[in-house]
Amino acid sequence: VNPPLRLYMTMPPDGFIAGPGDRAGQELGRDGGRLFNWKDDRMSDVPGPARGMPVPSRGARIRRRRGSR
Amino acid sequence: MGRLVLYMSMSLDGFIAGPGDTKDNPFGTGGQRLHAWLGDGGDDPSGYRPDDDPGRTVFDEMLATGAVITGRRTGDFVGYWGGDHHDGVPIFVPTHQAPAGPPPGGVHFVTDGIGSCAAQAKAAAGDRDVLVHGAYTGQQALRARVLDVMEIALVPVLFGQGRRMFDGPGTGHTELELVRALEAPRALLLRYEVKYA
Repeated sequence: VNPPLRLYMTMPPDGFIAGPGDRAGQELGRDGGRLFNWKDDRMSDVPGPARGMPVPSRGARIRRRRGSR
Repeated sequence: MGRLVLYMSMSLDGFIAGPGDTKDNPFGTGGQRLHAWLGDGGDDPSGYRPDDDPGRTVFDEMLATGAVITGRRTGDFVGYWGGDHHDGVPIFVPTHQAPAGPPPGGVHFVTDGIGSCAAQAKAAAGDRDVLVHGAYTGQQALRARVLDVMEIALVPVLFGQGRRMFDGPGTGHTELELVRALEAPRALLLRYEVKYA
């Protein structure tokens, strides 16, 4: 059995995976923690996380974010 | 008052045209791939209507807009749709210098900035939204804080090169709210509201 390699990344629509100045001690760059609010709300001063948002399965419709219209 | 809504098809790596986009090849090399979620086309805009419900939802909203703002580059490439993008609604083109000669059909060149262009288009559209086309124009509208919504058709392809939707640092950190996500057979149709700080 040869399991597939899957890339898991968190990315905004303009394609950045970290803020500027990513380095040791600031691994996600400036404000880069924003990207992971969906997961653990690590920067709570910006729109909140979609806790419990299901991972879409094939053919499923993606759920709206909590609080959206 | 309607809102300014940017409609763009984009590859997962952020390109909205392939490399070498010119007037003779407006989508760039391979760029047609980004529009495969639409219908096959034809002389009439309705020829591009997708055959699936999610695609039709977004497409019909796009053609229900009451005015169009398009960049000079996009407009020049397509001859300003002969002056009529859909239903004869006015077309506003922000530009530094209007071309000589009378503009085609319902085209208005606006030389006093994207803010003025947005205001004129909204006034013309009345209660309806304004369709915005073009990467550069979308960026300018974001910088001027007049863009309200981005409707991105995210296409499952990597281009690696071409023309980027979001280019340069000018827009900075801008919060978006995903207000709708529709799964069409050939694209994710993502609707974001722009939340200016």
